[in-house]
Amino acid sequence: MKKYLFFRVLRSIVSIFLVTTIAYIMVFSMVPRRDIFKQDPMIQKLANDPDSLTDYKENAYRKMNYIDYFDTKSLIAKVEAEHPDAKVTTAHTAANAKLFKEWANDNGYKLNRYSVSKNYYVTRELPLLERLGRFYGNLIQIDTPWAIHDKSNPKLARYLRIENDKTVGWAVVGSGTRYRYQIYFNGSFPFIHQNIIKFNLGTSYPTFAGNAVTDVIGGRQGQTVSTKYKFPNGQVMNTADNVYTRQYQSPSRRNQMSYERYEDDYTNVDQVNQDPSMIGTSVRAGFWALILSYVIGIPIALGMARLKGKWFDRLFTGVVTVLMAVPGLALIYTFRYVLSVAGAPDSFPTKGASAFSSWVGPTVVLALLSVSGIVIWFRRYMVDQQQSDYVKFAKSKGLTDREIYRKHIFKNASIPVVQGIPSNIIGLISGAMMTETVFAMPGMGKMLPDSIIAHNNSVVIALVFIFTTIGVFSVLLGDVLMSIVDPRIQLAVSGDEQNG
Amino acid sequence: MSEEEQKTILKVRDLSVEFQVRGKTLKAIHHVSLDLHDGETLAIVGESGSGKSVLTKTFTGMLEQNGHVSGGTIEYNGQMLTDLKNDKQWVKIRGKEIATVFQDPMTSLDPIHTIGSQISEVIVKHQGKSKSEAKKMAIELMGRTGIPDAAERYGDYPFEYSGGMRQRIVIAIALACHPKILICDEPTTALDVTTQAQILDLIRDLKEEYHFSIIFITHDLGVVASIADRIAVMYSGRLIEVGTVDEIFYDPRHPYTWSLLSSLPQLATKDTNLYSIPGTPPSLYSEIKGDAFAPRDPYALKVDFEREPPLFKITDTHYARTWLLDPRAPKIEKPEIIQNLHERIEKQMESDFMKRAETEGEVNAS
Ligand SMILES: Nc1ncnc2c1ncn2[C@@H]1O[C@H](COP(=O)(O)OP(=O)(O)OP(=O)(O)O)[C@@H](O)[C@H]1O
Ligand SMILES: [Mg+2]
Repeated sequence: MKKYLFFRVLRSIVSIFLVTTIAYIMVFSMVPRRDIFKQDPMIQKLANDPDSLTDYKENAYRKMNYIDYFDTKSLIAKVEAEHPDAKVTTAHTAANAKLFKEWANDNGYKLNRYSVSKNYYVTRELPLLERLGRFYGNLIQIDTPWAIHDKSNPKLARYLRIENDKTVGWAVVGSGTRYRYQIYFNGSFPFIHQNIIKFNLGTSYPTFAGNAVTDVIGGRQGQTVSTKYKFPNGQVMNTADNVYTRQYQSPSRRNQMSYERYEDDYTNVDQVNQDPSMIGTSVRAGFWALILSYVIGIPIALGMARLKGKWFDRLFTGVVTVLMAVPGLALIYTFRYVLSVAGAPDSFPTKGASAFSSWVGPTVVLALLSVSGIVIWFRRYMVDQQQSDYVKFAKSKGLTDREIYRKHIFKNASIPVVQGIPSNIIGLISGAMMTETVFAMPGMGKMLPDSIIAHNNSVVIALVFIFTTIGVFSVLLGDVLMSIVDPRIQLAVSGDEQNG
Repeated sequence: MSEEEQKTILKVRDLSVEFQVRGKTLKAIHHVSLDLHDGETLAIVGESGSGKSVLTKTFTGMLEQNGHVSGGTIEYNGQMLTDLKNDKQWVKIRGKEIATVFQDPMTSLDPIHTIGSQISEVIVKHQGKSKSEAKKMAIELMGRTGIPDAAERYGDYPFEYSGGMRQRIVIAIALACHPKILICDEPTTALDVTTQAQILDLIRDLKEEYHFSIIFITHDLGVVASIADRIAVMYSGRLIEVGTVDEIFYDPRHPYTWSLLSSLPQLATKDTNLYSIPGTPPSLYSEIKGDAFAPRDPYALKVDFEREPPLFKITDTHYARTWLLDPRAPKIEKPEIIQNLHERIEKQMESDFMKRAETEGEVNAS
């Protein structure tokens, strides 16, 4: 069983890897790269300054992992590093040009000149494989006391120790690490938190330009919220800073006020925002939608199965058939209309994430989208169960209908419920794309089409990665749950006779 | 036959059953009258669709939703079963008084409950025992039905049992509450020959021990000879002949019984093909004029197509529904192939016996 699970997890990871890689290759090789500027207002602004425009564009490509790019200043620094004796300048001399050319040739770069200033810069196309390598190579970042190498701070102490910190209480505190607090506790779920292992899914561009993709998707949104803290220097004040996220800030860019407050170089903090992150928003809506769809679907299916052929069954067969036949988007608009008549806001931002009523529309609509599938599948199963030989035999041995339902049919019915969970979760993902877009709900489902339109490749790939992970692991979860409810299924390595 | 055996435990009188199928009425049982005596084994034979299962389902109120008893009565030990209205009333009969063993042991048990819990469930329900008492009784019963290491296998799931073992469990469940009647609806059809013989032996042994009556449904006449006291032959929802095993085997009167006997596999020799009855049974949707078997009957008389024959009495125990028994009918001999059935069957039984002795040897050895 353990061995089986190990191999299943391994296989799941491989499939996530494959899907993500394919998405990566498709996005980066098939989407024309200049499209990323289609909706970028900076292009207009820089139209009169071709050199800056070039710099802006090449920088954008660099951030998106298309190319490596060094502007004139960086190029000079590179060349000087290789020829410590030579004096390199921006001047358009033959000597400078020769050095640049040599360096470019040696390192596989292409030498270009800005159109107005005629200064030199270099670019290098990143081959797809190298890009992929960088993506996966940087995917998981592990913080250690040797993570920070800062020339301007050679005496940075390097340690990990358990401390009763003045601000956050007991914590594993690091120095030389990226994050100050490696492991810490607070009142929010799951109460123990870590900053050691972080995912890095690249940099978002052109929307949320320059932010880490993980922050875009996983960081909280909305207005900032202040909390009262006692800082290491004894000062007590309200701040929106999320002190748990203190990251290293080089003394060369030190903010004196923060430095005095924290009394060390870990002054780079995230803000605390009031609304859940994109992933949090989607997961929250998705989770309740899943529960709701079962809460609605199963009693209906049960009723239909028990009253098979009666008006109740026929009525809902009709309803479900209509629900299945009508395109999802039309349903969403219809349900939204009905709900708004009933008083729920028809747009999420109207009242915001803090208002319960904002969640009603998207969650209920999302749930209703999967109800028809659940009803059909569960009714069919219950009808089969009712007509099954073991139910007949149970009846013939003198059990009442109620006893048969309670002791036999319900327990057997947990099998399809569990079996359907993975496909329902996967259905929720595609449902969320439409629902969140229609309700303007700031979740991952809305972000996917948004970032495709904006050519935010990094975010697209990150979302594909997240959705695939959710899908693959929900299948795994379904199988594990199946083996719990159904004794006939055993998770074993020799999976030939099992459907694992 | 002793006095006691003649006591009638189940009296079926003029029973008819109809099903509603898409607005049409299908008459599955036609005016059947039948007695079951205390302690006897009555076999019901007939080809597929002749109404054997439907008939016995009425004894436990287990007809499907679209079916109902449209006429006649069933009396069990003085109680009118045909007066029972709902499941609540039937629960007192099912399992406790009349139990049923179905054909397919593979699907008769709940796949996700343990074997043991499915046995003790009935004991708790009908005998009001505590769970631990019921468990003890269940294990005893499992051992009694031939499950080795019963105590250890109590917690197993059905999929861990072979077909034969599952049928033993099904029988154990059926007998858990000491019913007076055990209906076996083709209990061995789904099993291989060896297991089949073992299950038949088991039923026979248990009957000795627990003293119940058996209604044994089968279309295998070979099985009948080894287990039954009396045989009822059904055709197209009608009871067409009933008698003791000897009477049916050696003095059959209805042409349908003749053809059934002619198609006994034991009668096929190396150079003759197995006899099969030509034609198909009539549709149950329409009224049949005359004898239902007439269209397939090579001996059919003119009157067979016009009027349904009454049940003629041959002996006190032997009745048949055919115009051939009318004094005015021409004298027709039964087909040659079943003329000296006695000797043939005897021979067959002998070799059967040898076979069983062999297999039992194997079982003991293993
Ligand atoms: N629920 C039902 N609805 C409609 N027709 C039914 C129903 N149950 C049985 N019948 C019909 O009643 C007739 C008798 O069926 P029954 O099951 O009693 O046959 P059988 O003699 O047991 O056959 P087999 O040997 O195949 O089990 C068949 O024609 C069958 O189609
Ligand atoms: Mg049958």
